[in-house]
Amino acid sequence: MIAVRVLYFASLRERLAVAEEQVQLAAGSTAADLIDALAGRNDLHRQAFADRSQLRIAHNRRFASADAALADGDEVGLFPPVTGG
Amino acid sequence: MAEEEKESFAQLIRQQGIVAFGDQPLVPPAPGAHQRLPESGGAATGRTRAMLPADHPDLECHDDSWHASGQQRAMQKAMRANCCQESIDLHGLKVDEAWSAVDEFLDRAQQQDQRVVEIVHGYGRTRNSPSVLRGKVRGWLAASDEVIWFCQPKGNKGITVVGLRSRRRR
Repeated sequence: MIAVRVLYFASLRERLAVAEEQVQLAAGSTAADLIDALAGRNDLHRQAFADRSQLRIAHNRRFASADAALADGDEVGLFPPVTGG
Repeated sequence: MAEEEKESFAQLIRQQGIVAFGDQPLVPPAPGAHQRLPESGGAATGRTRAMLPADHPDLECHDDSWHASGQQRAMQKAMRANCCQESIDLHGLKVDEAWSAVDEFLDRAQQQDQRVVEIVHGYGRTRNSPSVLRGKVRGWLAASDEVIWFCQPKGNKGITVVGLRSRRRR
């Protein structure tokens, strides 16, 4: 198992009413696995991560794709999708 | 021309980013001096909101472009049209100074309904040492809810063109 620090930003933070938390994942997990795990928690999380293809992910403070491999102690920042134009 | 008028004129020239006039070199503008947008309608436009995520200024993004859902065509069209409206030059600024300058620049641009603007962050000193500011600036942009796309012009890694969300449409 690995533990990653998850930071929520903007409307995600407001929606989930949490700024950050530690999440346990199986070794070899990716950012996409993390989002799947979060979305599977309850209805609130499922709705918050419904548009996950447009979610912006910062892995150890660098923007990365959802297939970024996570390691123990990593930090993942999650930014809600930008909408409108 | 009185000394006071001369100084006033010289100050105005520097604010416009003009560093030489004919054969006469002028004093280079202070960092940020030529980055200010004109006030709209002569009215003072105060700071209205943070454009960049103040709680995470050390973000980095090393992608050449990014766009929000449905904004790819708008980005391509703007890049083809080369319709950049305003520019800010970050040369000479430290990271924290650049953060403030970009934040203020984007806010003012958005207040004036500028939709496409340009940030000059430089190439970096050597091929193996790319611009620190480039990664930082793009990280801030990628984290901003007010930025709908950003893109590097073809062949110029020293510049990032930014598409801003319209404030009028809300």
